[in-house]
Parts: sequence; C-alpha cells; structure tokens
Amino acid sequence: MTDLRAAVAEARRTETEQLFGLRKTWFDPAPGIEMVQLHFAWTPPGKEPDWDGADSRVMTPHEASPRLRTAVIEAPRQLDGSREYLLHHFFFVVRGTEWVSSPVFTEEIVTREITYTDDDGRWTHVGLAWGVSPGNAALAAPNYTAAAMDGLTFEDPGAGAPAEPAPIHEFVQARPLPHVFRGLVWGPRGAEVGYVVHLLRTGAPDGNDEEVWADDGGARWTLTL
Amino acid sequence: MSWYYPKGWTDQEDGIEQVLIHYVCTPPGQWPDWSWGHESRVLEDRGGFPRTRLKVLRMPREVWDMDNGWNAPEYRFHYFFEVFQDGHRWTTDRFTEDIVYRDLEYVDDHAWTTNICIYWSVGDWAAPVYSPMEDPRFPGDSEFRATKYYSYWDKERFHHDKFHMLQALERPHRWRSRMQGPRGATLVQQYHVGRMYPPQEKDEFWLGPDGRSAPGGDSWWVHHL
Repeated sequence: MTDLRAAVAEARRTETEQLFGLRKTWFDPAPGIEMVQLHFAWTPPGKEPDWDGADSRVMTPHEASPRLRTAVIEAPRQLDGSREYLLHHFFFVVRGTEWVSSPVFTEEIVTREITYTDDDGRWTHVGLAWGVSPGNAALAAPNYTAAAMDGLTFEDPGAGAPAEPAPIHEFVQARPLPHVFRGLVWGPRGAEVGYVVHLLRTGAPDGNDEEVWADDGGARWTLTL
Repeated sequence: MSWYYPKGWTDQEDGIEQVLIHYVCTPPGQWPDWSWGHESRVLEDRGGFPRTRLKVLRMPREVWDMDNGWNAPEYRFHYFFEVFQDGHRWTTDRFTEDIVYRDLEYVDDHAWTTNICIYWSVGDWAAPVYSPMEDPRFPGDSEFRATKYYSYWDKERFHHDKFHMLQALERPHRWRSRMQGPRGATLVQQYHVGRMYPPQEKDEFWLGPDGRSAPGGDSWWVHHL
C-alpha cells in the first residue's frame, strides 16, 4: 500500500508542476541582426500578460539554416488547474542601434489525448515521446508523457516521466483486458505533433522486463492540435 | 526571470534510444525526496559520433527555503540521467551541484550609458542569458526600470525619460546585476551597452575585455564560480 500511496502522490503532483518544451523559430529578414530575444508569458483565456514577470530566452543560430534562430521555451502543462491557456510572446531584435520589439503574438495552448490499447496485457507502463513541429518536424523539442491506464485511478494522463517506474505490475495484471493507456500532448492550436509510443514491462515476477519504442516503422505518428 | 543551464550527454555505447534527465532543486543543505516531486526532460539528440544529446534547463533565480522563511538565491541542484538502451532502462548515479551567484557591477564614470545588460552563459555560448542591469539608486517603482524596457512599446519615450532620470543621479553610475551557475563551473560574459539618447548619439555594442565585440564574439570575460 505504501508503493501505491507514493504512486498516487507522484502522479497527482507531476502534471501540475511539470512543463513541456516548445521550440520557437525566427528567420532574420535582413543581414546585420545581432541578437534576437524571445519574451514569453502565459495567462488564462481572456487575460492580458504581465510582462514584468515574463521570461525570456536568447534565440541562438541553428545549423539547419544560416538565417534561422531558435530557442526552446518551457511552458506549463497546467495553469490554474486548466490544461488549456494562452501563450503570449514577442521578439526583441537588435540591429545596429535599432532596438525593436515585435507585436505580441498570442497562441492558444491545447491538449490532445492519445490512446494505446494493449490487448495482451503485456505492458505495465506506456509513455509518449512527442514534440511539436515548429514547421520542420526535425526541429521539434522532445517531450515525454507517462500515460495513465484506464482503471488505475492514481495515474495521471499528463504526467512527466517518473523517477522510477512505479511497482504496479500486480495492479496492472488485476485489470481486465484490453488495457487502454491514455496520454496527453500539448501545443499551440493547429500545430503538428509527432509522437512515438514507449512500451515498458517492469516488475514482472519472472524478471522478464522489456522496453520497446513503437514508432510506426520509423515514420512516427502525427496529429494536428 | 530565469537563467539557463545546458546539460549534455555523450553516448559511450551503441544502442542508446533515449536519455532523460531527472532533476530537482532544494534549499542549501537539503536533499530531495524523489518520490515526492521532481522535473524530467528528454535530451535532444544532436547526432554526431559519438552521439551527443543536450537539454537546456530553465533554472530558477531562487528556491523557497521553508526552514528559514526566505527565497534562497544559492541552492542545490540534484539530477540523474535515465537511459533507454537495447530494450532496457538504467540510471546513472545521482549528482548534486551547488548553485551559486556572482554579482557584477559596471561603473560608468561619465553617465554615458542609458541601457546595459550582462550577456552571459554557463560553459560556452550555447545558452546565453540577458540580465538587465540597474543602478540601485534608480527608483524601484519606475516605469523605466530596465526589466520593463522590452515590453515598453514607446521606446523613444523610454529612451528620453530614462536618460534624464539618469542624468539626475550623481556620478559615477554603478549598474548591477547577477549571474548564476554551478559551483566550479565557468561562466563566459560580456556586457551589452547602449546609449539610446539623445538620438544623434545613439550607439550600442557588446563589450569584452578587449573592447567592442560581436555578441559571443572574440572577446569575453571568464568567471570561475
């Protein structure tokens, strides 16, 4: 019971406090730009950002293109108890003695549930490795969600990776087949998410632990938020 | 405001599919309860041989120290890596680093500067951070504080008014701000200095020990924490 209690505490905490990575991109429209900063903040729907408390990142050149700069920002998986909220950002650009701020861009952060069905009861844990494409899927920042199995009420479909896989083999085996796992991905509405499914079997009495990445034959699966 | 800490990994063997970093910050002298809470991130696969992986972590400026009732600017960073390799998972040892700060002061004898930031990064220039500087005598409630500059849409007004407020301060002006990083690490650092008023005297540059430089160019200071 102690293990279960720990698993409950971990699952309830992880999603509310964890973040996801989102790569933002900038293309220099002209030569001579010395520095680009991305300033960002999040609010509940309908609220204006408080830029005094905002965060920022310097966008660094990316080898994918000579004019491309990118930065990965970390956005919350929940804001005030809601998984959907607004992400605001603007660019601050330095070119010679011109210091210019762009208009503010506001995006609606939304979630999508991905399910995996285990007909044989082979897996104890299912995860999603996923990333939001900023227009080029190869630039997606990697994220991980530990999916929740239907019937295991202490699991959370939006949690990040646990420090250790919870010792729940017996709980999983006690559930009727098929086992359905549900995990969440996040990103701006309309964005493309690529994902693969991480399958783990741990804590089996026979010691036959196993781990597989299912990736649709290397192609990954995609969805549009 | 946050600062950014790149944590890297180099594959020492073939067959590594994914690497995650698990981490948590605690007040000085304290140890984490991993079963209670932590962050986890997937490292970005940077390719190459040997394959390298990287995650730039968003780090807090302070950590709440419940025992002493204050926000601690120096704290502990605990982490370990989780490696998925050849169908199995394994974890590294758990590591702890002391996060410490270094305050800088830029003395402007002639009141030439109107805007200045520390431009710095942990290790190399992979994840630069901007830390706006201010003379501690500048009013804390002013709309012309350095931290408000980026989102102040009427930049000309900001330049004009801040210039005149600064001119009213006795010289020299002592601009101050803070950098942070793990004890024992190296910080690279420049200043980004601007004179944005009067308009005919507009000038700005990144400054290193050898004078003007490109951002992260060929001249910067090195600090050992």
